[in-house]
Amino acid sequence: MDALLQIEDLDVRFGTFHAVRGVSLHLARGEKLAIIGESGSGKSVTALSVMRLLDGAARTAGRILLQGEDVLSLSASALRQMRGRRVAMVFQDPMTSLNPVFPVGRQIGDVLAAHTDLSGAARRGRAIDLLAQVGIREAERCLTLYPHELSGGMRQRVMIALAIACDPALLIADEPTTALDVTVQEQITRLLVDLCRARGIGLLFISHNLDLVGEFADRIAVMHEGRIVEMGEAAQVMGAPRAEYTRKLLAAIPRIGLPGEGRIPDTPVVLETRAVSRAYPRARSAVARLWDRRQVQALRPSDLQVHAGQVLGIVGESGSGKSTLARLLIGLDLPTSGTVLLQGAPLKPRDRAGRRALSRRIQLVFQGSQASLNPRKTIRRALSEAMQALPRAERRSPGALMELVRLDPALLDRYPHQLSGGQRQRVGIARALATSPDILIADEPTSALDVSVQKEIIELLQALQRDLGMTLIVISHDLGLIGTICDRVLVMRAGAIVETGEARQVLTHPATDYTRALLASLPKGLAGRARFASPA
Amino acid sequence: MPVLTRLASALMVLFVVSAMIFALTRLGGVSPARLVLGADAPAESLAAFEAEHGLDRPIAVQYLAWLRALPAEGFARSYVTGQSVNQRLAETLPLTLELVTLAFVLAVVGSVALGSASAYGENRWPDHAVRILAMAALSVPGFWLGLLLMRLVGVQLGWLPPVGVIPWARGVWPHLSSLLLPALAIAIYYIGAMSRLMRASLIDVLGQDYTRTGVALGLPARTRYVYTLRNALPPFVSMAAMSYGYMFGWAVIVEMVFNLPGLANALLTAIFQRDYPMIQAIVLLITLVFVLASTAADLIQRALNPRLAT
Repeated sequence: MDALLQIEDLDVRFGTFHAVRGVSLHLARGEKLAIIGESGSGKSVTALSVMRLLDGAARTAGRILLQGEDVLSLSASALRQMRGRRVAMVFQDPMTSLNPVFPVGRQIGDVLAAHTDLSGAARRGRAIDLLAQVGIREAERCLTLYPHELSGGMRQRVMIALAIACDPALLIADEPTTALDVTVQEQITRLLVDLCRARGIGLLFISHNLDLVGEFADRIAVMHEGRIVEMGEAAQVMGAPRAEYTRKLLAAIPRIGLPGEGRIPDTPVVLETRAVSRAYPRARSAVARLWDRRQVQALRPSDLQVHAGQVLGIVGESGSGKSTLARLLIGLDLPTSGTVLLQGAPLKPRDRAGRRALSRRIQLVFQGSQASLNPRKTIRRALSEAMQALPRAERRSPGALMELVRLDPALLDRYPHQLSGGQRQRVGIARALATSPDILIADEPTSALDVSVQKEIIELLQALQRDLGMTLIVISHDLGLIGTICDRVLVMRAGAIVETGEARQVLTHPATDYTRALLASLPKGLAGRARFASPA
Repeated sequence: MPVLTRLASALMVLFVVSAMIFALTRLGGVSPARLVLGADAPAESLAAFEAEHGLDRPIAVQYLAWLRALPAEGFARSYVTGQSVNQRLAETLPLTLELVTLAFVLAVVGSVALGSASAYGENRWPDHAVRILAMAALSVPGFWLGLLLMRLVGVQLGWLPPVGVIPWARGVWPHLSSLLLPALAIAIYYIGAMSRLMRASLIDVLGQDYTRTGVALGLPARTRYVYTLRNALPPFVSMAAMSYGYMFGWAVIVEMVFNLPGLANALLTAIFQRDYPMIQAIVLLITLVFVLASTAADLIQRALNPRLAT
């Protein structure tokens, strides 16, 4: 068999943690294999073992044959020659995976110098070629740019150029699009698939997103708790999954399901903005501001209305101003111009009484409950502190709050790190509910969570909103999430609201090209295979 | 433009510090006239001395006069010796600058080497060995170590001259070798401190994603070291720049121990004699060194870190 990569009975342990348990798989030349799994499933550890990139604490057993040669027994120098030359890797976060202090040209040049004997001028020429191949216009100018001068998508393109610089036979992509916006995600996936197809490179694509890999992978392996629970042709795994776990994963993907009969009750406006905008000075220091008066317009003058008891979704890509808007709505930040009105009265977040009153009306659920809970305080303390703004008589017991978010009150005396991601996010929601607000703003409430946990959190938010009759504002880049729970949607781009309306209307008959592009770039699983069938 | 802003603020610091030094040296309570003319001098001669040197005017006026004279004439004459302060500085400054610069080079080279050995051998024997060395370097006073070195290397082994300085005229190596022991006595503390910082900074960079990218791309060890070091340098550069200034303080002790006729020696003498013009001049020079060093550090940071450059 023409096996490019053959993994036999791979077993990886970190101390007592058994990360990978007897994984076997193979990949033929030019084949595209996707490994799917949630966090802790061992998918990244498997990928990193192929490059022997695991740290010293890992104990590895089994065999990894790359073109017939056992990677696990290679000498240090043979290993160095293998990496980058025969196998290369594209990582998740292009913000951190490129060296920040050298220009792009030098980084590509150094890889070429490591594996070829090209002269300096030839390396430069090749670098320009490579950048052009990964779809960077003005490739020559790009050579002199530093990573921080590039957008996220551009950086990932540069990372891909580095990876394919020496014509590897195998490319490993570890969640290569997870840190990117949806529209960019599609472009980068497309680029990887086209490059591998054109050059006959085998692609090992690691992802948590079944709909994404369903569009292009030849075969899919589903990992759970260190094992491959199902592996087969993409059409079979996605279309007729055999393993219970695969079915569960597929069911958990938030897809634009259109909520209810769509009858949205006509309710009064509770929260609105009138020509609210926010601009920041460009110059960092006070001295530099004396002559540099340029401003960055994070939010252009915007009007929006939030109706009582409804779920409003604010959707947009990074830099669209959606988080800025959220900060203004809860008074964490003050608008440069315009006013925010809560039931007709302007917010007064800078005055003590106003702040206190506000905290009982509006609360925020943060994206990463890992970072937003104090690691040195127990859950009980975190919840009690959240109620300090209330008169004693109105305070609830922390246990009651825990029950509200369907958590066992026995967890109250734990610290945040002793909880799972989903439990922490529930605590985050419980804390926001501590003052019984009537408006809850959830900023990317699920994006740090695994798919199956996302589903639970979405269901919890829906139930709470319904039972408590709250007004819910959900901010997200994920149209699937927005489409699942929102009554109304507001689409933002580059600091401006481009479209607003009832969710069903906006998501089925978008009025603007941007919303159409957003919807089109959503991964669609097997249904999206047609667009990857031939190179763009 | 940022560079100009930086230079302007450096100049501001110099002005403020010079005014403070000027005021502080005159708040001692004892008139220099008393020191120069002796305890028995009559009040008229004290007044005459003060009038002659302008000491009877308000401090602000004295300061402005001093500032006005600075560009054209440099520093004034010493009250005590009558010698030109400019000339005294010209005699003593070069030696101290050489001593401190040599110590600085030793400290930087030593701490980068030891810090790297420590970081790359994290929690293995090279790390433990360097940690013990660093702790010893930080806890043993430099002058005491200087005395030990003087006795061992200078007297018993006879490899390097134990005290005094051999002039340039007798050759570059003899001159530098005569400064090597005192420079080492100053540097040793900084090798200890800076190697710890280098280690921490390198370990931080070694754990970054881009370091893993370098490994995954099969870059040779030398290229990877350059990548890592460049990213680890910024905190080190700040600390090194500060150290260059602090080393002038250490030089005071070390110059005494090794009997070197440098700036520090001149400063001590001037303090004992309440020689205002001399104290002012030397302290201002040391401030200048501090300000230049931290400005240089800032500019180097900008060059090292492209994210600051814009």
